[in-house]
Amino acid sequence: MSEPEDPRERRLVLRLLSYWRDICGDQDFPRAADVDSSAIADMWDYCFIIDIASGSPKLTHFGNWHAEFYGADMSGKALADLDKDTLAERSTDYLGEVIQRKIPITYGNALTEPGGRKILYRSIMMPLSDDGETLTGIFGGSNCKAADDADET
Amino acid sequence: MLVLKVFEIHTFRSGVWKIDSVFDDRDLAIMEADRMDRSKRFSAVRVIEETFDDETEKGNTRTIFRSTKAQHINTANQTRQKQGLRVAAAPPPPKFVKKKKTIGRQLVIAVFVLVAITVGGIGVLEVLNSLTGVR
Repeated sequence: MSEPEDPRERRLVLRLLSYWRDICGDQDFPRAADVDSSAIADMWDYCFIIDIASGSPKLTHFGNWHAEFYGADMSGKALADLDKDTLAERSTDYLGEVIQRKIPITYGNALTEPGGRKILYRSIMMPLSDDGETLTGIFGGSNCKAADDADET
Repeated sequence: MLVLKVFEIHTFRSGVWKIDSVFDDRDLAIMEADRMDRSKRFSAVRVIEETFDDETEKGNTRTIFRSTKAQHINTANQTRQKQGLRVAAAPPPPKFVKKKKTIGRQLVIAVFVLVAITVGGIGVLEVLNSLTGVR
């Protein structure tokens, strides 16, 4: 069960991290099947899931918000197919570090997308494992704001 | 000069500190550590700042957040370390010193007795000599 939400903690990445901890339970990693879109319905559109079990990493879920922001639904596509310097690509470009360290990692930065759109983004990637040992997937999410927007992401 | 900084949240589980998650934002890391501490799900939480100077290729770490329980664990560890150092630095010597003092006193008594016997013996010989008239 999710912990009571503090008004200060409305950031997407912290809420996703909290959810990941919930489905972890006493394990080191939750299974991909443990991720329940209905439990995080308000965040699901900002989420993505990467399958790393079979060959090259592949997006098995690419949230609606991401599809709209990116300009295409990349579900089922390889991570390598993402255009460089896009929010989706930057949100997933530290995949290797998450796989190596086997812990949730969150990074954010400023970015000028290929179309000239300037944004401040924050993303998070968290490990998933079907056998509790070998990583088989990554559960992540990200959002952004315009670089001149004063609101928090 | 490029200084890279990351913030690691550590949790105390099964008697050891384990890296829980990594942040590139100090405030976010502390906010999350504070939330984790308040949740009571983790026995102790701390945030470590890792700095790496790209130019000098030197790194540094320091703790920037400790939950109350983490402070207790830290204090207990420091106390144990100090106790260990004190024992190693100054082993207790009292018995050995006492023995030394006893042996010295016995030696003085023995010498005193020997001198007394010698002086007494010479005195007795002198008396006997005077009685027998041997000169």
